[in-house]
Amino acid sequence: MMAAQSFMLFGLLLFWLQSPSAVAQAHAKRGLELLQQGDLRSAEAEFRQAIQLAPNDAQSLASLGIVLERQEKFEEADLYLERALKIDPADLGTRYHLAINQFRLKQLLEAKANLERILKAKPDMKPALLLLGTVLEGLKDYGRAAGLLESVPDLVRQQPAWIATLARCYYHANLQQKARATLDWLRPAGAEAVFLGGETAAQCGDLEAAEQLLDSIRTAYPDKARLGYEIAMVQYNAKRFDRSESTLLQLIAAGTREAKVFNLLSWCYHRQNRLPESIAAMKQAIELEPASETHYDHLAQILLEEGRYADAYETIKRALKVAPDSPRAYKLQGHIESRLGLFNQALDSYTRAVQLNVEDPDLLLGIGLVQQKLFRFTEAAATFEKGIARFPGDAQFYQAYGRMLLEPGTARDAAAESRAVTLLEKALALDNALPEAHYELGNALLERDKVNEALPQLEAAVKLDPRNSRMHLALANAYRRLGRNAEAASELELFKKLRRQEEQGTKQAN
Amino acid sequence: MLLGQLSTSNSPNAPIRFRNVAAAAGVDFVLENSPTPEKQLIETMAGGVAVFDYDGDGLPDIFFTNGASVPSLDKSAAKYHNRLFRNLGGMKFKDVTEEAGLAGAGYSIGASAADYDNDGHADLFVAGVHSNHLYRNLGNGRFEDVTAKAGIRSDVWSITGGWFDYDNDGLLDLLVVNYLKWSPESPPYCGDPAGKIRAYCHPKFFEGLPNTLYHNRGDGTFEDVSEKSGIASEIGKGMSIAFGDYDGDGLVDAFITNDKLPNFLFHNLGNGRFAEVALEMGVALSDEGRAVSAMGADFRDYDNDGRPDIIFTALAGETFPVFHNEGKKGFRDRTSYSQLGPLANQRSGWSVGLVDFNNDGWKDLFTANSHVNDTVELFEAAKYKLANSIFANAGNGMFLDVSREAGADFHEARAHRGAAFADFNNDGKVDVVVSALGQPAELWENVSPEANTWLLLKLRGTRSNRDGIGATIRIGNQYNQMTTNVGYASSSHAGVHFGLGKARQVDRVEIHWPSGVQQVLTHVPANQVLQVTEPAK
Repeated sequence: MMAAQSFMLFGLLLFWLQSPSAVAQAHAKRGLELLQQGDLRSAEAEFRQAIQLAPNDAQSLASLGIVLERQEKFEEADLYLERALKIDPADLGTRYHLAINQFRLKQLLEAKANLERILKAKPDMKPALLLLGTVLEGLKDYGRAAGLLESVPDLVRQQPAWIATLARCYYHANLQQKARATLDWLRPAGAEAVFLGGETAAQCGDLEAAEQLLDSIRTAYPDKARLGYEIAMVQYNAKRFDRSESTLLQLIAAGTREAKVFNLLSWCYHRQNRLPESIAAMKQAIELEPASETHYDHLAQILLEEGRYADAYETIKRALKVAPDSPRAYKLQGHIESRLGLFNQALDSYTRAVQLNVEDPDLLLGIGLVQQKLFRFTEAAATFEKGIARFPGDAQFYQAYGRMLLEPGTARDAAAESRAVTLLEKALALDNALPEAHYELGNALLERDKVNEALPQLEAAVKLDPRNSRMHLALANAYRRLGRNAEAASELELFKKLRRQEEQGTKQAN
Repeated sequence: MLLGQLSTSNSPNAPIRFRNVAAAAGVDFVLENSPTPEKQLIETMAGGVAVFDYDGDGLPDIFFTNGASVPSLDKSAAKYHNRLFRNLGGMKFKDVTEEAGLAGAGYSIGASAADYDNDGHADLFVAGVHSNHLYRNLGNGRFEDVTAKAGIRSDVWSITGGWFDYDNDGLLDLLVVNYLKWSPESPPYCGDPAGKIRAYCHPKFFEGLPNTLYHNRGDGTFEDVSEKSGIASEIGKGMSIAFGDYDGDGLVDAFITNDKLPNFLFHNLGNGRFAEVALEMGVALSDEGRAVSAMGADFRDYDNDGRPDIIFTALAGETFPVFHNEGKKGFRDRTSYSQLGPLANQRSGWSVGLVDFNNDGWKDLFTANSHVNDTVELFEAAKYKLANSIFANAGNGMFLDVSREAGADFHEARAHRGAAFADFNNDGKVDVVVSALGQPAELWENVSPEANTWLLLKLRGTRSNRDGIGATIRIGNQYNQMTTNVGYASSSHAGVHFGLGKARQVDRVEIHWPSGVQQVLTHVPANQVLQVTEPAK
């Protein structure tokens, strides 16, 4: 009897223990233990079992979300964290983790909304303040981001990445001295942190601070090649090509044989008008990384800039042998072919590039411009229309379309002229700093005898692009038409001077 | 109907028709340009034509320049000889090259005729690659090469020469248009190196040259005044020359097209010097500031406002630019407005002439067409061989393309180059002779059906130069001038032509001679070749 009773009690306990909620809790408990031990995969399995048994358990759902987030399974983590919050919207901890996950997913606006909700409920939650500062930096709200990060200095100082974030906010807010002072916080954190500081300053265009920071760890930083290359890059961007060259040559003398080093050295020579050395250095980069398209592209680019179109063409053909599906190489090939006057071929190249990359507006623009060169005006118009539809914020398409309609070789009527003017005005509404659009609009008005209206457009064009001879010629024409002969003469003098410089450039290129 | 205010009252829509009568006329010239695999630039630049009455019989004769062997630049075979065709009348011609002594030497490019020694016989200047030649017309059917004696030897590549009397001393001076520095050794590789398709090189691969001005001393010799006149101070890549007095100061100015460089407008200052004012006057570049492949030019009043305008040809995509003379404000780019922008955009032109082909009182435009590169179709939408074009003057500053209706055989596409204009059969309608690379020349007889009237003035200067070159003539609203330089590398020494519409008589003909003498003729019957001699005062 006793035995039977005992057996029945055991069965009841077993029944209780094996009831879904109890089993779920056991899995959840085990999951938490594993999570604390850092065994994320096992913890994930436990939480999944817990959820299978208790699908509406907010804690388990949130826990699984956190485990997934830590394993960088952000998309799935998002689902579980959202489910947890639906069940328990007041759980600030889960919401905070959701915001972290959204930040990692670059869903910055969503992260911002969650963090603001948390801070409304708990204004002094420091991690949330820090994260919101970081999110706002990503959203380019630099002033507010800086304010939030400044409010949690102890937290910011804990991580070099957060220090760098605050420094970036200052740079973008034109507070260079504060940015530099913030980057100085990195010095005690060691050479790697200072390297990050150098990179940050360089990215923000503070090349002087970048070089100082990087220079300060020359002895301490273990990877001399990486550091040397970064310094050389900073010097190159600071247009100190001779210094950059010297740094790179030192690296090479010390035994560095990296293709990117020779690549940058080639650009240094190119910027110092030392073409043979530039070509030799880039060929060295190619030799070191023969399967990398980049070096061929860069050699072609340099040859193109030097006016060595035939050589550039041959080089880009080699790039395409290495990377037959590279939209970048096809784009460059199209550009070179246009310069060579090989418009049929250029159209093929740009078309292929667009097939490989639909996201680059320059490719579509290239097609339109080449179609125009091939007198396929209707097709070019359709391409520009397509560009406007696909990239409505890109002023280039409006400008190119407007220009085409005003070309002397294009059949035009009053409607086409009006359309051109509208397109150019739209281009300027998107980007008022487009000298070409001002110039075309000015010329169009000049052609219509609206000299007084043309004048401010042409003056704006000259102001925006004072080194462009054509702008000065157009302005001179407008002044001449208005009888303002002294100003016309002055603009013509500028035109002549700039034209001579342009011709000199072309001559050197040849 | 009498003619006083004639031109604007006439319909500008009279049809223009041509037929090619070269074969029937005995003009069997084939331009031998010696194409090579290296694509030597000179090969695509040949083809000048000169029309002039070398034997004084009242019928314009035809002279063709010709190429030579490359790279020797020798006329090593008869096929390379320049050719002179004597007009026998009735649209029949006879090759008189040998007896005239005009077979020539070297690789010839352009030709320009004028009576430089005022002996009543039109002489001939032939420009070429590294050698120019001046042939004096002896008046007996023969010419003498007087290059050395005249002091005009050259060792650069010249395209053509322009005759004008820049100092109004009654003697024609010579402005030689030089192209660029070229030699047959190691031509640069242009075109598609990957596809191994070679093309003629862009002029940017070569250095430019200054032009040369020779002052006629009056004793059969010339003085090189390029430096002291200011002409040599500008380096260009000259393609053609056209003369006109753009500012009406009585001094002839010179417009020179340049290949992919700003054009030159040499303003004659009247003191033996010239000022280059193309930019200031707005004819150096298009309104977009673009230097085009400017080819042949004409410098005449196309809209009957009394001021000479400038039109020149260029390559596909560059249009045929039109610069309207707006008086003191200089010139205005009216390419788009004139409709020559869209009409010519896909064409490439060489020689050009503003001539009233239908005698309606409005000058029409003829262009000899072809692209410069025979491989262009592999790279661009442009065509190499093209038919010539006729753009009828609509009378409102615009032109209409009437090429399609110009004749059944007018549509033949060839590599046209030079063209010259004259009324070869004295029917009052101006005909055209055109050269083509490697193919027979064309002689386009004007068979336009409209029975409009005309007047052809042949000037004889006494105080001015014998040809009256530089004289301006006004009939009603129409304005024209005596010049022989027109188009690309070509010359038309055939009087000054006016279409008169339906007028049977011209009330008043005003002639302003280079000497300053003003002459007025009244009640001049239409439909005649009128010989006009400059009065003593």
